[in-house]
Amino acid sequence: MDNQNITTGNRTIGEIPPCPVAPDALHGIPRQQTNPERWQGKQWQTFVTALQQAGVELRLAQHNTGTYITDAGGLAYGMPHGVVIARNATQIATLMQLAQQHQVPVTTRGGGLTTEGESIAFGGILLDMTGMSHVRHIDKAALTVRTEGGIFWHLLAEALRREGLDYLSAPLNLTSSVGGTLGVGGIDVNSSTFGCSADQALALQVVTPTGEIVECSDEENAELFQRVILGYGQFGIITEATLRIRPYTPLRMHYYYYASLRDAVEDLMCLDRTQTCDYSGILTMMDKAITLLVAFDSDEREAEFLNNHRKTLRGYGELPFSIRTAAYYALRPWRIKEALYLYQRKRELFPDLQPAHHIQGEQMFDRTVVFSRAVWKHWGGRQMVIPDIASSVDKFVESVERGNAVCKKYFPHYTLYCVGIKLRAEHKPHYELSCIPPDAEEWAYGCEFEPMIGDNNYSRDQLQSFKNDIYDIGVDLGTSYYRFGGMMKGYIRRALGDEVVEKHLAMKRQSDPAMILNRNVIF
Amino acid sequence: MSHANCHGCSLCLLSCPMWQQHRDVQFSPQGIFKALQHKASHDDISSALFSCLLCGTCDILCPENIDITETIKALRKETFSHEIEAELNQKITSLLAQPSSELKIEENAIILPGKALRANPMRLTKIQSLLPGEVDIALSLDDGDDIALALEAGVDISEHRLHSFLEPLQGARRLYVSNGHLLKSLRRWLPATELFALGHSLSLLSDLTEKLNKNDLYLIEPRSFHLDHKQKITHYDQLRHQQGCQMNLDLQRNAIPTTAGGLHAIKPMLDSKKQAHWILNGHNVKRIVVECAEDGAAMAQVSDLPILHIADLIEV
Repeated sequence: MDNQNITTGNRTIGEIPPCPVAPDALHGIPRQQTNPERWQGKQWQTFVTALQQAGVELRLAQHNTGTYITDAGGLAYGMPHGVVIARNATQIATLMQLAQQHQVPVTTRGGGLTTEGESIAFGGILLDMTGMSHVRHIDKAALTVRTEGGIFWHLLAEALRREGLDYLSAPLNLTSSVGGTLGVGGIDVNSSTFGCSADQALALQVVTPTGEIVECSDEENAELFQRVILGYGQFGIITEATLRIRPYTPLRMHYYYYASLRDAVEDLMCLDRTQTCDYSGILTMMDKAITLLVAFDSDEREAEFLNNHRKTLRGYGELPFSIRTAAYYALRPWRIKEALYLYQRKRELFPDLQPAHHIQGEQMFDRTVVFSRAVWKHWGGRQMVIPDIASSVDKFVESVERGNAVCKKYFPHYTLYCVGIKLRAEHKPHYELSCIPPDAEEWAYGCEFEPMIGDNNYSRDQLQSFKNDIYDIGVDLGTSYYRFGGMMKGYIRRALGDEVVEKHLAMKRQSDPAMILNRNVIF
Repeated sequence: MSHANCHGCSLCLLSCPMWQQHRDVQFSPQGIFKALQHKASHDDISSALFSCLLCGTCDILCPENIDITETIKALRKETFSHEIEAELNQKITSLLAQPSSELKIEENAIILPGKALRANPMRLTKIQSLLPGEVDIALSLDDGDDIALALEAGVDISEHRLHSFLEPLQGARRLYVSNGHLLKSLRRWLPATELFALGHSLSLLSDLTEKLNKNDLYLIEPRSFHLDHKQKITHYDQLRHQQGCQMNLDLQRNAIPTTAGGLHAIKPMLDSKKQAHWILNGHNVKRIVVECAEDGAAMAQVSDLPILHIADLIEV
């Protein structure tokens, strides 16, 4: 059987060999696999001695290394040989110099919220970045904050709120770290206004894979900045970051309900295109019960929307939608189970999305805390798979609909979460080999497909097969993905093409000769 | 749910005072539980176990609903049995051996004010007169401070001592308890008695709270607050909005504790000034109002602002 070409539009971007999981299937990237090969510990003892002589504290006990055995996905498992708690850039520089010299892999970890094993060390050193999690300086006049890279977004929000300030956008999970997020993107319900979290970064202090401490930005060491931002940890460790911030504002929230996925997605994109709201996103309970979140930073913006734009949305308010849905199921009594699920889900979920102690009048305070807690309570679990598709505007509706069909095939219950991401034209170089698809202009769109695993016991095979089916849609449509590292890295070349992968592989080899930093995440 | 159920989501770190100070996952419920899952010895986790303030914020945050503070107390008990903390054990055991009164108090309501509040008899008299009720409110003769400490540390309490503490309280219909650790156990020991957190009860009195304003930083007593978080958060949130005062609440709406009182008074494991600074950070206030007298002393270490007990907001 011959190789099969992978095309996007009229362009051939690569080829799939006869067997996509064969060892030679993906040049430069090992075959698709659930766990990367464990590093066998060559030169470990001499490395440990050198590290200890350099005064870097290393934890070797099983109860120390075992703490990091898996990530939020809970599907990949690996133990580091030793753990270093990050304390400062000099310490990390020493670690990287010695690791390079002794060819010991170093895996960085912030909140450990990866789902594909990207923050798991399969041997070598696990560098726990949460040890560097202090806010360095808040510049109220310039509206910037300088923070250490291992800080959780929650802690950053806490420090900023004391000053009446807020970050621009952050992942809805507050135990994500700033450094980890800048390395992969970070999406929020206001990303359609502010762009992904990575686009907030103005400057970084980075420890390179060879152990140099370098300050970089769009103006200074721009090439390194471009590679580290959205670089999946391949080109450096973010030890400090300067981020744009803004005055804190509570949210004026509105929810609209849809029975059609296509209508909801089209309305979402219309809202973003016309910039009539400050926050937008889609969350589904089922593909017949879709919630479009629309929110505002000011009363004026809210009033303008309600007066001029609300009528263009096809979604219903809560009561009319409930009546409509009840009528739908009343005519289809054989689908009573589905109706009961919806009712139960609504009862459980809605109070947690609008908790009284975060609401004052019509305004919601600390939305990310509300959403983050709801995410963990209603979607969290010992195992999480969240395959996604990141596409251009044109391909998004089809991506979502096809992804939804795949979800339906595998699971009785699942959630789709969709948001837009405003792109910055001047950041095009940052987006190379990232979740931002190469053909996206002005906005990119992301959709996460999350099965409600709960207490069900799905095999890893079924979950992997589900992810593959979702990612195959991306290959077919020529999109990108947010979670394309770790266990899913086999898709990188297929989705983004040989040319860009070869270019980045060459840069990686140059900047990290021993290929030790975050090995197997991408390269 | 036990420590074996922790799957490492890190949510408990977000409000954890010991993690905030150490920035090291070992010093967090998650770190302790994960270490135990990987067969850590008592010696390996002892330092973290005894750094915990048992403030209860993690109990609110844990998506697995692990009763983290009870688990930590149980682990401390095991650690004591391994004689790692022998000196501390000895100190608390000797406190428990102090003679106590078994005199039964024939009143409908009794206050267990604790050592710090008892040191100010005038304030205590005022509190007695302020609390609602048709009958006089008595003061307990035995605060059970030693028992609270033993509970916190995981030291065994003899049946005799427990009996001598509980017997005088049996006749009361209502108990007002200053110590959050004690409150939790008293609910178990005296199921028929109505039990209230003293600080929270005072915060329900509008005569007092109407004196609060936007220049006040109001410190909620965290342990009893987290015990009934769902009910109490609504009250404190309303109070905050009505009076405009600031509070020691973080973004999760959990109360940030000082290190005052209890085990940390005997064996300090966290930097009390650092903790007080974190509470104050960013709050532009002119006065600090506390529900718990010990918290006042902790804040006085780092602040020259006037510090008032909530009962001192009015003259009687």
